[in-house]
Amino acid sequence: MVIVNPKVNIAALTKTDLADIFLKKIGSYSKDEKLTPIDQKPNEVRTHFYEKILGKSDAEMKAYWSREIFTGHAYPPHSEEGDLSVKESVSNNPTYVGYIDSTVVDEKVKVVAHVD
Amino acid sequence: MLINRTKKQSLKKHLIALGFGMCSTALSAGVDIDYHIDGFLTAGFGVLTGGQVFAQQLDVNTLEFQILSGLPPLYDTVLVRPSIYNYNGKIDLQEPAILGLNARVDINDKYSFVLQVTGTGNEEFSADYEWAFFEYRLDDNWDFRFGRLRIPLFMFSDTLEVGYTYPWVTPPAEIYQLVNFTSYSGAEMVYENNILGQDLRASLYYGSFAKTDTAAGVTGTFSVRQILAGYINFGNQDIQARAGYIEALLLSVVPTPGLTSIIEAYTTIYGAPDVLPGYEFNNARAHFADVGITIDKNNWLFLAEVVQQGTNTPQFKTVRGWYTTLGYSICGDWLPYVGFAEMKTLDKTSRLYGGPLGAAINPLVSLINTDQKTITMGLRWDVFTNTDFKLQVERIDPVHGTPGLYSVNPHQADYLIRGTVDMVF
Repeated sequence: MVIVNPKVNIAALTKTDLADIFLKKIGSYSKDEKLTPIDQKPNEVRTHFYEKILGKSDAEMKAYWSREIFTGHAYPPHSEEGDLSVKESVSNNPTYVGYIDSTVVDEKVKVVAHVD
Repeated sequence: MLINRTKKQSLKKHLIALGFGMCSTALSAGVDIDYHIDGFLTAGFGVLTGGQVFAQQLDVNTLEFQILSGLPPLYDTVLVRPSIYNYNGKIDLQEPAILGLNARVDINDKYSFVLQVTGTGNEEFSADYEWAFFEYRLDDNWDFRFGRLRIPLFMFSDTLEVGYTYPWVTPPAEIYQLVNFTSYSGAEMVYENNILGQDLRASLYYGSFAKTDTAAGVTGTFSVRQILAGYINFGNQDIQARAGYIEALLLSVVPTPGLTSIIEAYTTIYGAPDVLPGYEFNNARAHFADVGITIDKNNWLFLAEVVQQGTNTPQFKTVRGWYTTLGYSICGDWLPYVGFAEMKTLDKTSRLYGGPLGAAINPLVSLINTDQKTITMGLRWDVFTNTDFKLQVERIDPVHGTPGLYSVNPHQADYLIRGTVDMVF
């Protein structure tokens, strides 16, 4: 599940929006709404998220960010340790967007996309 | 390989200084300065199985000879970048070894400083500053960079030392060995946007490059000035297309009065058209044009790139290099791939001299033709998320009566077997 702060006036995010946001691209969405992506440290939820959103494996994502880092263009999103940390961060920051397993979703956050 | 020794010190010292420097900056400033330190490492082995030898030693000799004598037919060697591969019949553990550290300090949302230090095994890990630039971000679309910057000549030029970022052990030599300068001092303007749902990154840059070396007590400088270049990347996560163009002035300067007589004598005998008064020679305007494509979709990886290099003098050859690689990802961690690459000199005949001069000099002129074809098979295994292991076999075949990138010319194909471990951390 992709989550934002309940105060954020967003109903839904598309796959393209999520790709733009989590790759820190100047996409159609992130340009207008300054959303800050919050990643997860390497785990199954993260692997599943990037496979579904971008069709990329962990290694492919690492290679992508290595190119960006070592050419000085960009850094990957800040990452948190697991679902609960991401949920906590998103619930406390109105600009954050993260992804967590559906079993830990509650009223502190708003779901804006399903990743299945 | 010629190196600017004056800029080189122990990489270890630099890394330590860099690490402590970063920490102390953040602590003493007492403000929210964001910084990142990342590194990369490549280690491995390589062996040429059939007794051929690559042209590095020859190039060092000829380049030094060129600096000393100003012989036009050998000017071309300054464009050869020998470090892509440097192997012979012995297993070599030094050549593929690369260690690098990258630091980025974000002073605020607008200003950053980036420093990248690398060292290679065959240079005893002495430190090279590939990147040392100050960045100003005007807005989401425009970036301006000033300082020492990696020259983004071709598709993989700006991460050439970061093996983790590409599938091969090294990018194909038929393109990436065409140039022996990797950085420049100057300014770059980068524009990024999303157009028609695709990512656009365009860059325009200007600057210069120089390196100095001493041979037989004589110091010479090879410099590239008036570098004016740009590239465009357009596409998305699955398909990326790139086009680039660079123009520059190549100069070699030997500020040693003792050489004047050699250069003047040579000019008198051969009437070399671009020998300049004084101690400068080799005044050539060079250009490189580059087109490439990357398709990474549904487990398939397809890469292709073509580069044409030329100058406005017959002392440099006009070369076209291209490659294509096809791979298929298995279980996300295994990438077997095959590839083909070719390097071809386009002006072998038109560059020859006529008359008695030709008889004397044409063998040397032809010596710099470097045509070859390479068939590559390899496997990349992503052992961990930040570590890969690669094994690659190449059949490198010199063609058209040239030595290719080998140093001698028995016109025989040879097999290069290489294995590396690449890490990013």
